[in-house]
Amino acid sequence: MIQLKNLERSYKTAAGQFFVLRRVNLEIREGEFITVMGPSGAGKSSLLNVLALLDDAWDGEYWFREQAVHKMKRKERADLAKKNIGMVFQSYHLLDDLTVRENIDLPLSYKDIPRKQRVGMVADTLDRFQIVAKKDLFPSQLSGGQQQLVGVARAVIHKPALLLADEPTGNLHSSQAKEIMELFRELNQQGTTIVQVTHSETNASFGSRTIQLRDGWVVNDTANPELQPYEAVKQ
Amino acid sequence: MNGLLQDLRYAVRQLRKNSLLTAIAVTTLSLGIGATTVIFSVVNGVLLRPLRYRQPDKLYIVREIVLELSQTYPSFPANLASFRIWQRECHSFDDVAIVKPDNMTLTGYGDPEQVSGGRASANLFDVLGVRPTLGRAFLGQEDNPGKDHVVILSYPFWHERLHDDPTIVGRTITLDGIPFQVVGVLPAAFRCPRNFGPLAEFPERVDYFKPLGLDASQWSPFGDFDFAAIVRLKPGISAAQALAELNVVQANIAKSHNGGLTLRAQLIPLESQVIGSARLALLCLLAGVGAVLLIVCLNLANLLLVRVPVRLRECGIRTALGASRSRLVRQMLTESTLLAVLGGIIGVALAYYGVRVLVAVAPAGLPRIDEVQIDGRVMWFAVAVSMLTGMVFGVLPAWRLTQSDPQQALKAGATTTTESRSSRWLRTSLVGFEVGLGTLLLVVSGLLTLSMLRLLDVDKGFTTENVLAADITLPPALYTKKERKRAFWENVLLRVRSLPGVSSAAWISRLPLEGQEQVDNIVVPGRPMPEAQAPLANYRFVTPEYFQALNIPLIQGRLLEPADAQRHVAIVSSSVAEKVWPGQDPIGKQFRTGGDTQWPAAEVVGVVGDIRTVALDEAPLLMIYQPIGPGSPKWWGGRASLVVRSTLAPAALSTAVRDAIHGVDAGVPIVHLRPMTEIVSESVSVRRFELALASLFGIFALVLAALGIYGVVGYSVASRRHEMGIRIALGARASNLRSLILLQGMLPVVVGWAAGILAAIGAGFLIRSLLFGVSEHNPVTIGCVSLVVLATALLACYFPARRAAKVDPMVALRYE
Repeated sequence: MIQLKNLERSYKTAAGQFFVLRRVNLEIREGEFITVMGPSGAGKSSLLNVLALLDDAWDGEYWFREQAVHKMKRKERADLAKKNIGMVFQSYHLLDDLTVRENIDLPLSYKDIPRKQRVGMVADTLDRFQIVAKKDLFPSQLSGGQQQLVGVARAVIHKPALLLADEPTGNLHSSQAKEIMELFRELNQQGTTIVQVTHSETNASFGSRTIQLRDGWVVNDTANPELQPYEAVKQ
Repeated sequence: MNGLLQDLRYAVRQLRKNSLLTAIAVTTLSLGIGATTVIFSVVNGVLLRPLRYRQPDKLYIVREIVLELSQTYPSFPANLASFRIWQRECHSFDDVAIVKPDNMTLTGYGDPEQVSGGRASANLFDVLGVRPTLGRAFLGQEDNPGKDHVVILSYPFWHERLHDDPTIVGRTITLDGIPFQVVGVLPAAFRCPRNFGPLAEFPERVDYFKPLGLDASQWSPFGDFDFAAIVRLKPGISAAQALAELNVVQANIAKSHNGGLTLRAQLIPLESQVIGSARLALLCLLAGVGAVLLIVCLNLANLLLVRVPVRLRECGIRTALGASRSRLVRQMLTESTLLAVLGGIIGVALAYYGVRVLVAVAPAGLPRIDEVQIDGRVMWFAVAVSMLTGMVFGVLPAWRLTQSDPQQALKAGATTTTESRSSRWLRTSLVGFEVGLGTLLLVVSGLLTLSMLRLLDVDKGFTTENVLAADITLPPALYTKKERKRAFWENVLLRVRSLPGVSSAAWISRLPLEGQEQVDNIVVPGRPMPEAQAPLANYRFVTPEYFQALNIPLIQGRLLEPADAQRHVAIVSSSVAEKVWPGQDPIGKQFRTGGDTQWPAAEVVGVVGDIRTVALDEAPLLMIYQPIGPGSPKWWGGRASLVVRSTLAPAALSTAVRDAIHGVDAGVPIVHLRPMTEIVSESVSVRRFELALASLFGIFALVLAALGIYGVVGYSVASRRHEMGIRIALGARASNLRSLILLQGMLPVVVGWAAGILAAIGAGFLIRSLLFGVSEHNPVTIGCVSLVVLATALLACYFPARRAAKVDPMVALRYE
């Protein structure tokens, strides 16, 4: 589904070029549930932002379903992301002034889908996630777990091929976190490819593959035992 | 459409959530849009709406030019004899009509009352394309003497004095003691064209029209240029073509008269003649109020830019969910446009009352002011201005938000982000721009103010303190003989002079600053100059003490004595003496009025100072004063003005003067009774009005700019508390922090002020014609305005700077 070849991301600083991702070579297959782990500053969120096409300023090759993203213009990338990718955030990032229903409808409103169709899709999603009763509440009226549930519903309403989750349970307590992770598993079983960033081993256990990052390098990949040790690659 | 409705719903929610910001924004917008709508309604009513005649673009005024006199009098109104020739010989004219101001005394409806009207050729209303709403227009034969005792009434006169009497057509009313049959009533929308210039100037209100009743064959084509001539061109004929033909006809007239003079003509579109010099002033006012509205927009843009950091997270989320830049911009502009529309709705409501107030207080001299109203075009203008305003103040914040990096906004734990350096720079630039605009407006209003002061301070040639003036018209039916008229004037003078406090009292045929009258040549016997080339002067007829009553200085010779009433003598103004008898002693010299050889030549007995005759900003005219009496038979004696100088204030004397006049004859109407200072004040009323509006805009702009500065500097201080705490902890004193904030706050102000001054200097030529006695680069004005702007800005920066100096470092360092 996704291929990254020699992908690098760096920032210019007064001290020179600072790399957050270095020669990342990665292949993500359809239907995988991948966990990206590593210490703070390893480049996990940066990798996720690249995959989400939120970040443009990287070098290397990025293939999405055999489309050369690295050759696309910004608008083409934005269209690709709109159609195929959904994101779940640690801080939920719901809009405080929109109701649950409106938050879930928001990504559809940017896709020029006719209103009647959108209403139906939102209704189905509310039902699927069992939050129909809360559709007219505002985020401030929900618990953390409920907010993240809405965040997940919003991310999957348009049935994206790829779901990216950045520390999705970071602000939840364990029982809520378990609910969310089980939901992710269910989505994955239904065919959604998921890439999550997490520090939690418990969360990682829900996935089928784990990738370790350190200092911007991919140092370990459970799907790739051939991967060279970190020290040798760094040299 | 659904997306727009969604954006609208969200915008309403945002406005309700930020109710204070919304209230401030809507209030300033309503004031700005309301003021702009009021001024546009004036521009619309005066400049843009076509005159209410049939095909007004085909209507022109004809003015005659005597080339040999064009240095002093560039053009004249039309002459009756010329009018008849044009009717016969100008084939490019569909028709031509003439009209001149007229006055008569109405009796039979309460106290005798002087009414103003027009004496017009029978075809006037056909040329204008106006049909009476009742009755008919004049018939051609009614132009002939003896057949002209018919009138057409104006709608206001019929409505107010005759109470909409539907049977008035065919009945008679008595004017100047003569019965006139009413043949028609004009439509309510009809306005008599005005602003034809000296000698043909109509008052604000015209109550009737009567036919000419004159035999043109008795008139010379030279002289008596008293009529406004209105021409309708034939279809397909251009003004240039018509003028070419007209000038040929004029040349033939001059040739046949054989007076050695060259006659030409001028064709002026009726609309531009009516509007006159008001166009430039109104356009300047529109530009001024537009500048104020722009400052409102800049202030609001600044207010919204403050909220950009708060909205960055939201925009980051929307971008991550697929919102394109254009979609984000559309959403932000929907919010700002909604604010502007709310402001516009209230603004239009304010404008509705504002227009009524403006029309009520506007000087009558402003052309077409009575036609100003809020109509469809003004409403559409208000809608367009509201939408445009929303776009203008919304576009910058919208653009800033779309420049944000969604990754920054979406970082875990991010709820708001702080203002970036570029955003701060943008906001301070807006402040600089506001200050520049405000400075420009204040310089303009400062120049207009100085102009007004110079104008009021100009040497009028006479003084007005403690001088009362009364305009009297004797009812012709009662005062048919000259002796009776003279007796009235004398008896009134006797009574008024005996009033306590009165030091001098006199009659004059027309007061200063009330326009020209009795303009005729000064012909010196024995000089080999064609009469028509002789200098033209305004003749006035006065009683002794006139010059004392108005403090007009005697320069040479003597003033008038009572015995002069029986003599053919005159007092001339000093410019007459210089022009007619240069380098000679004018005392004892003789002259005739025009080509009149019927009466003996008048002898000059005195020379007095020049006075402003027409307006304070117009140079004095040549003036000749002759005594009221048998010695000056040219004065018909039916109308005069009394001037009374006393030790009492005019208000304290007016009742006594009124009683003195009515004590001689209670049936004589007093047209006006007012202090002379009021006449001077009325003569500058249009300028004063323009100045008042310009000053209002300037002050409003300064207040808005000060608020903008205060807001930007205040916000900057609030967001830099941590920095202030660090500086204090590192040893900065309160004065160091105050200086830092003041310096940073005043930098955009100084830049904006300098740009505003440069703009005022560069664009000064645009308002040059509105100024009097003041250069558009007057350094005193620019200096005073600069002082006011910089001092106000300093004050606006000072309070936040003082707050910065009071920051507690321990609190500030814990703040983060």
